[in-house]
Amino acid sequence: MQLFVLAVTVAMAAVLLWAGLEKVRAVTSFASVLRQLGVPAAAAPALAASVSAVELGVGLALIYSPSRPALVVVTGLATAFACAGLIAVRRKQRIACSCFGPYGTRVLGRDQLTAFPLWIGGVAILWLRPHTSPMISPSSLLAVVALSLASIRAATAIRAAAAARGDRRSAREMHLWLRR
Amino acid sequence: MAQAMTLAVGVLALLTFVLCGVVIELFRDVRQLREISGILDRPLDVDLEDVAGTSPSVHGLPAALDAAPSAIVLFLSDRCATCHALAGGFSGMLAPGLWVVLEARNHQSAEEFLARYELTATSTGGRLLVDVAERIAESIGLRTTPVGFRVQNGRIASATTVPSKRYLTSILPNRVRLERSAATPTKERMRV
Repeated sequence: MQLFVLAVTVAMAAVLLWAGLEKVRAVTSFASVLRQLGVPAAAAPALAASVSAVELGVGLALIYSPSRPALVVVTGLATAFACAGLIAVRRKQRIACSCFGPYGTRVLGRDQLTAFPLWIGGVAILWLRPHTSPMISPSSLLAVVALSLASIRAATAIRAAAAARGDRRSAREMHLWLRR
Repeated sequence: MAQAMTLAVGVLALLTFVLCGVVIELFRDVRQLREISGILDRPLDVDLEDVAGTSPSVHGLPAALDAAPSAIVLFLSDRCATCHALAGGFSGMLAPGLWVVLEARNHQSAEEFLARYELTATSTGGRLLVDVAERIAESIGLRTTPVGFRVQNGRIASATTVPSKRYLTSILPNRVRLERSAATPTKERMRV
């Protein structure tokens, strides 16, 4: 049971940290999404920065002390995401998600609505968990989560580099001819 | 101390995550620029319709192709830049299994093209065909170059555009031979 709780904690923290870090990196892109959802233009950048900070803070809180206030904030975030998905679905508008960075191709809608029960389920598991001493120290847990995120990202970067190398080789062939 | 080191590993890993994100974004930007410039070698399938399954000779291609187990017939034009790039990559010789049909405006432009890339009947092993007035292309209904037609067991099987030499090399029918000495019996080798 303790291992299952740990896995749920890691998964939720990883998703929140990933989303938070990517939004911090491209906060203007996320602000544009908020504007499309109806947030006033003047308030959108501040709200975008706040959401990113909250995601990062709660992600770290789940690792260091998964307290009930932190779980309440997670529920609030999940509700906000689901509302954003619902708005996009009801408006039948294609709004880029920007949930996990500016270059995602997904749109707001069903994904956020589907994720809502998963978030609530995760919160419920952590809320009802038995209070025992942690299996792993918070710093080690942060290292595990961060290394997992970095590994996934590095693998994607390596694939992108390989594809770019192929494109470059092809372009070089063309330039060789053009120089003749 | 160990706790601090673990924390440092975590923080550095998060930094790596962010930096990898930046790198991925840069690669996507470059790819976007390449797509706009049209310099990605992404092949497109050519819809063969009635031509699929017919013998190459029906369309004016050499009868030798009707007996070929596997071959690529590459249509080049003297007016297309990629065709020039492909011809330049031949270095005066054609790879095994590759046949070339040059669509030329007239005899003079065909001669200039062939001379420029040192392509002769001898150097290409008779696998070069000049189609002045585009009779073969007309018969097939081909309006685009460079296009590679795959011939399988004497029948035209499929066709794609050929955007680069790299792609052409990848579709050529390459045979991999086993390197086995004729003097050494197979069973002896298997025991080893």
